[in-house]
Amino acid sequence: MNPNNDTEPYDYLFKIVLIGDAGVGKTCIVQRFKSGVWVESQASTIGVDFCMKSCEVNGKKIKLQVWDTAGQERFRTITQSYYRSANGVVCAFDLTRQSTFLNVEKWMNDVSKFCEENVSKLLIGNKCDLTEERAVSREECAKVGSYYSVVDYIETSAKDNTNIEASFIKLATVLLEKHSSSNLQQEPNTVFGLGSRTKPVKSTCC
Amino acid sequence: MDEVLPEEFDVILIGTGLPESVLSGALSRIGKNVLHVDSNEYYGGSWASFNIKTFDKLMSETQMHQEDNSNPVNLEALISEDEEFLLMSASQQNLSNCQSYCYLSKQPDWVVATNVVEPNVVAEPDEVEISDDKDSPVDVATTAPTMVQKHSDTEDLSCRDVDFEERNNSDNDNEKPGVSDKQSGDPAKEKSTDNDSRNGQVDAFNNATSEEKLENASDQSSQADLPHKETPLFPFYEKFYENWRRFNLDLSPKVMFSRGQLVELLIQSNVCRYLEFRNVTRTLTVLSGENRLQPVPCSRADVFKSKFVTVVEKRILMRFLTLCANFEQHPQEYEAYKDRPFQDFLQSKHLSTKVQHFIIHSIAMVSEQTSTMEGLHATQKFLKSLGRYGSSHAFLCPMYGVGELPQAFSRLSAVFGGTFCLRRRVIGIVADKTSRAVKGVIDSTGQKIKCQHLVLDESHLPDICRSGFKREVSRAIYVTDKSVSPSETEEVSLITLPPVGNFPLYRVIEAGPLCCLSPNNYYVVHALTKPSCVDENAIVDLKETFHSAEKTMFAGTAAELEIANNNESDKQKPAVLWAAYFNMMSCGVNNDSLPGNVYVMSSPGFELGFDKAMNEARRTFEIICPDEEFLPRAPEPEEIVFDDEGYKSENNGNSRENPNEQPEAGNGDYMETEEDLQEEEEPDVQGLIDQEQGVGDHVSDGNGDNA
Repeated sequence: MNPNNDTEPYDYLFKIVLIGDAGVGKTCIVQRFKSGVWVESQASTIGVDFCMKSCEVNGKKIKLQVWDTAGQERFRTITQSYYRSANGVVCAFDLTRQSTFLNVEKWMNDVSKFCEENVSKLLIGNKCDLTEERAVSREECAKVGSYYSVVDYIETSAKDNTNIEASFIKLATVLLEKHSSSNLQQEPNTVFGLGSRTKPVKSTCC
Repeated sequence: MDEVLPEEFDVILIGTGLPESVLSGALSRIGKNVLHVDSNEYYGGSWASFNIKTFDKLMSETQMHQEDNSNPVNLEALISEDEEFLLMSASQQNLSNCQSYCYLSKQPDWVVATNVVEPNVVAEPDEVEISDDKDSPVDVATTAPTMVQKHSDTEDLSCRDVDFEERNNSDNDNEKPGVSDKQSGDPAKEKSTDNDSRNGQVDAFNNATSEEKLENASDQSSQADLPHKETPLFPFYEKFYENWRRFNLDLSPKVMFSRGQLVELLIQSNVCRYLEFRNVTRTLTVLSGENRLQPVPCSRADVFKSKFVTVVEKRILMRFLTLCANFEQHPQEYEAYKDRPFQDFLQSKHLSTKVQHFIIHSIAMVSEQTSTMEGLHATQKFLKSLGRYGSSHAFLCPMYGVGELPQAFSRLSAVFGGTFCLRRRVIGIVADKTSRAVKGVIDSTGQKIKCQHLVLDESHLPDICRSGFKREVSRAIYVTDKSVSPSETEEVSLITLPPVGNFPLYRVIEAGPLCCLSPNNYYVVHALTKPSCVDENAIVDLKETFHSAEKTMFAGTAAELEIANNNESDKQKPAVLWAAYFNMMSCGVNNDSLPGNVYVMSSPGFELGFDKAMNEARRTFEIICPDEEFLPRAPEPEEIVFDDEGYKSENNGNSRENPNEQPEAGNGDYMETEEDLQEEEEPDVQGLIDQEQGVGDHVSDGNGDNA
């Protein structure tokens, strides 16, 4: 982990929120993406709000701010403000548990209710290493993905480190295309956080 | 949804209003095991913000809101012999006299239905009343057959019209070429581009209406044949509700003093990273005998620029505000007036009636009878906040409404391990018969959950712990077609309408798309007043209560103005397109019947800021955890190291000052140096400044005194 990560210059900063049922491996996905670590037990995620990771896409420095649900998905009590100003959504389910796949609908409904209309969505089927226990077919998942017009459906394994980075890069690429084609003006400096530098993200055009 | 909860917690909190959420965050933050439940399907309780459809529903359903269709719980099996059971109040809604009205006509058939989506609500034209008077036994089903849809428990109240397709139209209208790919969720950028388009649209709109009038005069009969020429004065009902989701209407509108406790806590705890804010950009009032809103000069720059006060008044006002900012150092100035009304003190300082009005109503926000000491403290509090975020602003308001605040603290609580469960009703409290201490609660699924401490919001008090209801605040919310005082850029306004005749004092907050409270071209006006009626059971016509405020601020309702089309009504003033009225109740707490380890958080009241709620949360925290820090700084993500065993917090942040805190302007606008003063001055008032040089000298003298 680069301690200076946060002060590195970047071209774009995107906020990505992670959603999906409890136990599908959201926190593992974040951990794997952030630091390449795989942690079996998830008892101690206390204090983790979001993580920042820089990556380079098409020669641009992209900073991704990935938000975890903080356990509020357990009783489906995610705050509406969690979704505010998200640029991208990663909706994850567990390939070995059909119920988590069926709940993708509920999560996507939340996205359509609480996110901006043009938010980019990515559908992730996690735990693809457990091929024996697989409960949903790839075709089914891809179909659901395209129904909700996700940018892609990707099968991942946080444990084996399969497609984790690729998923986020995919989303970052789409977001970059979206935002670099637009002719953004510097916003008037009238919205602000109260002193923290990690306020919800605005992409800036350089 | 009926998933079983863990059986034991340190603290259980019921209700997700602001003080409960702050407390929940503070407790989780220091490692307490917290369960936070709410019977509602949304966060925030009496502090929540809703979209306009949900608000309509809320106004129509306050009574049936809490219908309980869960299975009866067998209490005998859950309560042991040495325990007693305190039943929770069945009615948990603390709104009364609720009404909402839409004054817009339905779209006639002749309008070409391009791009128009039929909302799944049916309404009568002109005026739709949805009323549910707690005070009067009105059958809601008969008075309001329209717009009311019974909601199922599983639906999400904050956004339950899932089948309402809205994304394929007017939202896209806002996206101009070149910015159509604008970053999602970037309201500021959206606003900056929309601002232009909005102004353009307004102009076009005005032109259209005047054309239409000509049209009306010359050829009435051909209108039906020429639908494209008939531009109605106001948007149609359907058009209005198209962007229903973009409204964020507060149950308890408030603004934050820039140096109030809430702002300090948000910074200190890092909870501010979940939120964004706007300045309240102007303060308006109506002088007695007038019927026009005027800007109140607050900062020194304002005072210099103001056209409403004379040069002499400016000088005296400046001197007075400088005194107030540092009044403790000059006891001789107010000693004689300590126990006398603030107004007497103001008179003794030779302030004109107009300036007295500004200070009492808009700066100190007290009444004429308030004591001098209280008035001085209130004035100082205002002045301290002035200039912290923007030179002439003293207040902030959260983007998307006040409802974001409890959610942000709830998030903090969840991040630090708090368990959250909405749509879960607690049916009663279990207390020890001998010690009277609470041992736990029983929820509507029949689960008994133990706890050491119990925190309730007022509306969840068991009946026997209550001592009567009273009306706390009377509220009106209006959606209008323009600002109450249009200006070049969109403003966020705080307005005081002083009492006139039989009418009470009103506090008004107006904001719009800039704060994401409404879609473009609409404004939201929140009006509050203290209920005048003593008899709690009397039926109050809230429309009557707010009549005077409405007359001052608005031209009329859209329905009225459509009829009076040819009348040259006050074009400057906005029309009311939608309105809602309600009372917010509060109940007294009967402390004798309340177990010792139960803490009650009060409902939001008439107060403008959040200090009361913050104090309550802090005090309760100090009782539950006497030796712990209240809301220490949460670590930044990069401070958390994780290894193969999982996350570990590197430090809990207590030791480190937030390095990036915004620079702060000392102790408020009136404590600045003369240099700052010169920078602030506008070139076009240079002549005035030359005349006013004495004032500048005086201000710097004041500073010198205190240095």
